[in-house]
Amino acid sequence: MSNDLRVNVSLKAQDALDSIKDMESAVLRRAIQPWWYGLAIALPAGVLTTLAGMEISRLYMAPVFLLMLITVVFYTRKAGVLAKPSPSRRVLIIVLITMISVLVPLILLVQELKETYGLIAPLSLGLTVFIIALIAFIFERRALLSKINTENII
Amino acid sequence: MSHFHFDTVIHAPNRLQICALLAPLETAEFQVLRDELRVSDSVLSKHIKQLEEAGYLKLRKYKANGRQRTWAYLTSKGRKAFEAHVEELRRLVSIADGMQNNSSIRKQSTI
Repeated sequence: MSNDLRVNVSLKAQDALDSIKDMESAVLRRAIQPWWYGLAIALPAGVLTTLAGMEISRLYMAPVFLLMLITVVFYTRKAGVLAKPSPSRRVLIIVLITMISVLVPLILLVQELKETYGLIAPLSLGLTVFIIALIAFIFERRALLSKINTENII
Repeated sequence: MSHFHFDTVIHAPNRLQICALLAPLETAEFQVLRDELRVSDSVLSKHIKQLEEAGYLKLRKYKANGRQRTWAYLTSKGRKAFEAHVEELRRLVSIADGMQNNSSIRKQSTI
């Protein structure tokens, strides 16, 4: 291959790489959830944990769970895209299993502590879950923002 | 197995852009792809069909509010092929960069 041809091929390859970067940035901008989305997920998660800790009937928990589910489905459909989570799917499954296996005994513990400490115990656990969910959302959002090198997308 | 592979199915500009759009995503709606690529439904369908035939892309269709909605996603084979293609493009660029550096060093040494 002559030098000119090599340079030409390289320029075309660079154009293709640039167009890939443009497309990835464009679609990631669409995938970034607004700040209210984080609250809409974290708040019901905290409320659900509090309700479970308070041993309130599942009948009252169902609407909160449904609200969370509807928010996710509605937003994903509206955005038209669903971003890949930053950690791999395998890591995410491991984290979820670990969280559930920690959360279930904690809820049972809180149900026992409720007799002594009253509502403070389930409320504290609910608040902790809310904060953890919100922090996870913020980290995920920042990871997406750093991928497209912009801080101005709300 | 080599990590570099120039894929002729992927390299066509529109198909390359479809793969680039889907690579950072789990899934995307047909309309989003069409809007980002600024092509007609038929053009997008044609390219999607070619990627589907290569086993790089799959479609999921369902009805919502009486409307058919189509979502596309890259298969693991598609993701691997796209990554290998991008690596090949990077390799081609780096070869030319290396050549330019060598020629500038040669020029400097002759001066």
